[in-house]
Amino acid sequence: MPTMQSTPYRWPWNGLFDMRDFALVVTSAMVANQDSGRITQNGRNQVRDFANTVRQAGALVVEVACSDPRITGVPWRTNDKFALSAGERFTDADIHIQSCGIDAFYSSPLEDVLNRSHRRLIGLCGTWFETSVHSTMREANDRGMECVAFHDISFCLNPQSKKNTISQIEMSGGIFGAVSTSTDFSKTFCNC
Amino acid sequence: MLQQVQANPYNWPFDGEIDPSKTALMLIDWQADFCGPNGYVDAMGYDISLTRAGIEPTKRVLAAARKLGMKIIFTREGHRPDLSDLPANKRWRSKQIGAEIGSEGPLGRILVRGEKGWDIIPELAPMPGEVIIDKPGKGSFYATDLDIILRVAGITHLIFTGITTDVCVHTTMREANDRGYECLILSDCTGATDKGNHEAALKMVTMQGGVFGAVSDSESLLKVLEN
Repeated sequence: MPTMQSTPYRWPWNGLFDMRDFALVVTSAMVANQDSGRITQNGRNQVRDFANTVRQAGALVVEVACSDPRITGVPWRTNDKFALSAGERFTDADIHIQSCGIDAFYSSPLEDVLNRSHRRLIGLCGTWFETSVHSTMREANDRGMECVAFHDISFCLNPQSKKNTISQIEMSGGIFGAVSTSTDFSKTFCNC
Repeated sequence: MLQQVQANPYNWPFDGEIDPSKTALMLIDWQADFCGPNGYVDAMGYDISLTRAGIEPTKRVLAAARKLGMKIIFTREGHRPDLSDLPANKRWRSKQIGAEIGSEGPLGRILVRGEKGWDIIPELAPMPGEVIIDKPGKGSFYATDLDIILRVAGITHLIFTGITTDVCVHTTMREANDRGYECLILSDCTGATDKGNHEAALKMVTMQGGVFGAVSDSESLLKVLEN
């Protein structure tokens, strides 16, 4: 199998891509009332279509509804200005799960789902790029999984931070993995 | 009890005063490999003055925290000498950039437990009885006993210093925040291999009303701790 175009190295690192080892993890983070409008219907459609494409090609698609520690358990730091509500569902995933943190692994069955289906190659996308996508990528990477973030379908809370959100992944030779686009992935691994 | 610290986007902690008996000072990865001459970060070709910038302010915060009897927690990233806890992709990436983890360098084997480069720099050396957490990854909670140590000690609030801001400090702060700890990061007691990424990491903390906690600096904190 070929590797795909990505930075700072061609993904995956060892050139051993197999769709049966791949999972797409879509995170749906909480939305503060002032965030609304940062994601377009077109963006949502892109995520849904990409999830359908990779699933038909044999990937596992997991969508995780992420939470925020400020609303689980005791009332935390929220106030009216930053009232948080659950994000809208993106996909018809194979599995929908819920995490108790901003990170999709925290207090969720995600690690078991990935381990039991032997998925060690992980693609990430969804909301928000700086929060749940990043936290989840960091945790997957610490677990030895080989990760790629799709920056065209990972949506920023603050569009101005996109450049650094990507750069933080690429430093030190790809400290959390690689960065690419869903189109590059589809072209290389799904023949479309 | 101590008063709140001036911080962004809210004065810290959210729940009122600072209780030193429930607050821990986190010193993340102040290791020679990350900020010493000839260490791992130096070998990758990055400017270590950026990762060394936080040493002096952190020394002052550490002295004040010790005086108040706060819990002091050090962390170290490193691998077993046989590299059995080193993921193959992590090893490959470090080799690609010319500083392969486990290979011999001027400070011993890079990021290997027990080697000179892996040790905490003398300026911020732990004192007997202070906690040291050894971790194989970026996050200090994954595959370590940090959480149980904090729970047993009754710690609910964490103040972060360390390197690098966007990698190990941020990952650990994200993990701590998810676990319900109330977190503060000190802008001048941290540093990264890229200045823009350091600043972006601090800004990210403040999104959505403080999604990972709050940001302050050593001067604002010391004003409260030394008062």
